[in-house]
Amino acid sequence: MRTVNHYSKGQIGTIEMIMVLVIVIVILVIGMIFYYKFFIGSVESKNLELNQQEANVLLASLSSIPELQCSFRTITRDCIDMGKVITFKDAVTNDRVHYVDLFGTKNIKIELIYPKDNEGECNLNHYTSNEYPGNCNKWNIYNNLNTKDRAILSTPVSLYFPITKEFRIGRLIVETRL
Amino acid sequence: MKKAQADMIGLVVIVILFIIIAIVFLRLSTLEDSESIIKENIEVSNLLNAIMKLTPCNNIKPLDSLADVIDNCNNQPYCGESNCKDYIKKQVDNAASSSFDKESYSFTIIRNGAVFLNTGSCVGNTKFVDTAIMPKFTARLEVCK
Repeated sequence: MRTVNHYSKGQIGTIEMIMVLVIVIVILVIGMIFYYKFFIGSVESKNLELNQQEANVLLASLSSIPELQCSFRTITRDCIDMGKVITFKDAVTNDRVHYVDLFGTKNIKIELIYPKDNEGECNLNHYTSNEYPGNCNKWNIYNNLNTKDRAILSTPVSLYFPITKEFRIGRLIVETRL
Repeated sequence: MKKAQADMIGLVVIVILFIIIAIVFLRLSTLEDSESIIKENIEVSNLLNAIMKLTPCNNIKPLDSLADVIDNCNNQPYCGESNCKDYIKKQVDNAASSSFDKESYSFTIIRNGAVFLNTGSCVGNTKFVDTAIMPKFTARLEVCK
């Protein structure tokens, strides 16, 4: 016995429309998934970009804050006074809320790159020694970043040592979260 | 409207969409490049400022900055070197090699309208240049990648 399905023109039209709708919905869903992924990705990259921009601005402005900038008889110069750096660490400890508000979640360091004699972190003992600044080369001036995923931004900077009246070349380093 | 005409319109719409996507992509990629160039230029400018202020010779008091040494250099011996030009070259080379990892550089001093000193060699295409204008000379640092 043979069964023959006879579809009318209207039924074929309806099936065709349903198939087109299904395909359009599938394409829309795929598009939405891609858009969502792209959107999340772009928000994350924007977040990273803004973090890095903030760190760049900090990097450019740090050497001109009065707590660190060189000044000779009230005339400021484009360098970091390493005498002020030692006391700046104490200032950060004493008024942490103010500096956390100013610098945020970052680490700020200074590294002596030329001429450099010995390596190591500088503290008050190194500072009071006769060999200073030849006895160490790293100053951690602000620590407020614990994560290991971090972006490191740096720029060369002129360092002034008031005890010996020397100018050396250093690198100002800002670490920010990724 | 004939079927062929509808197909043509569809094709034109798709082509226009592709062109818009390409323009947006190109614009975004250009923006990223310009930011990186600005950052690198600041770095070169800071290094040039630090080199000019550097006081590398501790034997002569009061200490001379490298800018002072360049000002007063007339091929005389200076700080253990037989010629002050060699001393300046040595200091610039040491400072630049301590600051750059992969980049090459060229440092030029122009004094009295002529090249007084040139050290380093720029290899590569992308260049960041900064010039320090001092009262008696001009120092130019060029960095290549």
